[in-house]
Amino acid sequence: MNGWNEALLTYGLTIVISFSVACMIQLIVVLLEKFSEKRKGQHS
Amino acid sequence: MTWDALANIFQGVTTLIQSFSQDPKMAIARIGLIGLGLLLVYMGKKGYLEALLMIPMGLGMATVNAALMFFDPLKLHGGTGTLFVEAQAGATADALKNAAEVMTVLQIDWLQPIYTFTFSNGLIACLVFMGIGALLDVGYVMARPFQSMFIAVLAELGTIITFPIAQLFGYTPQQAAAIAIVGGADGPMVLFTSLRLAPELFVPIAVIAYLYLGFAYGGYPYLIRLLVPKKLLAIKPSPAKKKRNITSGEKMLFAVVACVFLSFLLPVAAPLIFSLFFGVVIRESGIKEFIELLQGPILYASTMFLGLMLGVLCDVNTIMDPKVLPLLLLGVLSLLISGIGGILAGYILYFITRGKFNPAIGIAGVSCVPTTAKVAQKVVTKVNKSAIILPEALGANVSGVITTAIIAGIFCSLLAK
Repeated sequence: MNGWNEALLTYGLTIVISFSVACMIQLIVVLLEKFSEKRKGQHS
Repeated sequence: MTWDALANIFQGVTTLIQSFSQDPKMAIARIGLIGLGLLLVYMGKKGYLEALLMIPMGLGMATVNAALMFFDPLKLHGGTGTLFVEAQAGATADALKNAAEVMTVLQIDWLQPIYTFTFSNGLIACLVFMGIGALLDVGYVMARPFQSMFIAVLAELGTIITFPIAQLFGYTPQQAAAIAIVGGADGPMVLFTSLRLAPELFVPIAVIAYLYLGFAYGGYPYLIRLLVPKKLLAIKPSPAKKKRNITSGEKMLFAVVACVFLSFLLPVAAPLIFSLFFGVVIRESGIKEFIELLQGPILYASTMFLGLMLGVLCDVNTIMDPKVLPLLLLGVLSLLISGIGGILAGYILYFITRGKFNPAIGIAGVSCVPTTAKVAQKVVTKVNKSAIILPEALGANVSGVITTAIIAGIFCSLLAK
């Protein structure tokens, strides 16, 4: 089992961090979309 | 004039003759490396391999092995050496001796300042990353973050699986990690990780990584055609839902937040993460002078010196180390498994979307920006000219850079001596 534990730990952490980044991107996009809609609404 | 005087003038020839009588293997390897260097120049010129890297690398490799002479100021190579660079200077456990060695070679070897001040501290990798960042459009990831990350994560399988396999070959965990990161297919990341974790294997790992990245351009199309039938290669991505355009301000905001967030999580990889997102921020900031500086002089100068240094570091003493040969196998294995992992992700998305996703996009999760995305588009175009998969492939590609940086950061934190 030489190295398999570290490999799995690394992969697990990579998955968690990568999808956290994806969630963050999605959040940024959604928030900015809502913000721009709100601004459009105010202008009209 | 005596024979001794002639032997002293033509030291390249003399060292080769002496090597034939003392250790024929080394002499043959030296000739082989000169030939390989010339072949790389030829293949670079013909476009079979990346010319930007292979021409300086090939010429450096051929020349450094030709220019061997009776000169070994640090007494590291049995009396022979060159006037190019000494990578092993300052690698002892004694700090004072290291400083003295580095100061000595800095005054002798003409490329030593470049090696000492830009290679051994990872600066050149960071400069290349700044240039790459200035070319990246993160809008592709922002358009479909989960899909891109999913592909990129599966395309890291080569790195993860090669890590324990390399340990079976007798490498230490640090060396195994430096070798396995070749599967991320990201040159600067390989340089950074090997310098941090296994500086003793940095030269062969970096050379093999860059050679294989060159071959990936030629090899991955075959892998795609082998694993994805023509019918699936012809799939056109479903037209994107009408969304508003992502503005440069939004891309900049993402780059700033991601840079701080990832650096906070992985401080060891922060120099690379910062460099990449710095390039992205500059690109989106619209500062024309900075963008031109990063995309032009910085990227091309660092790529040229990177190739040149990798070439001159390929002297016969380094390459003939018995630890180097398994690297050839492990490098291929790592890139192959990563490619298969990416295509597997493509297939999973194909089934999830009920046949609307082209599995060939998966190969772009292997983060060789933008090579693998272009490879995927090229293969698909040959089957169906109207199938444009490049935007989705570039999304996976950029995500691949991010996931490789994450893995490099975890390896460096987990395994640092």
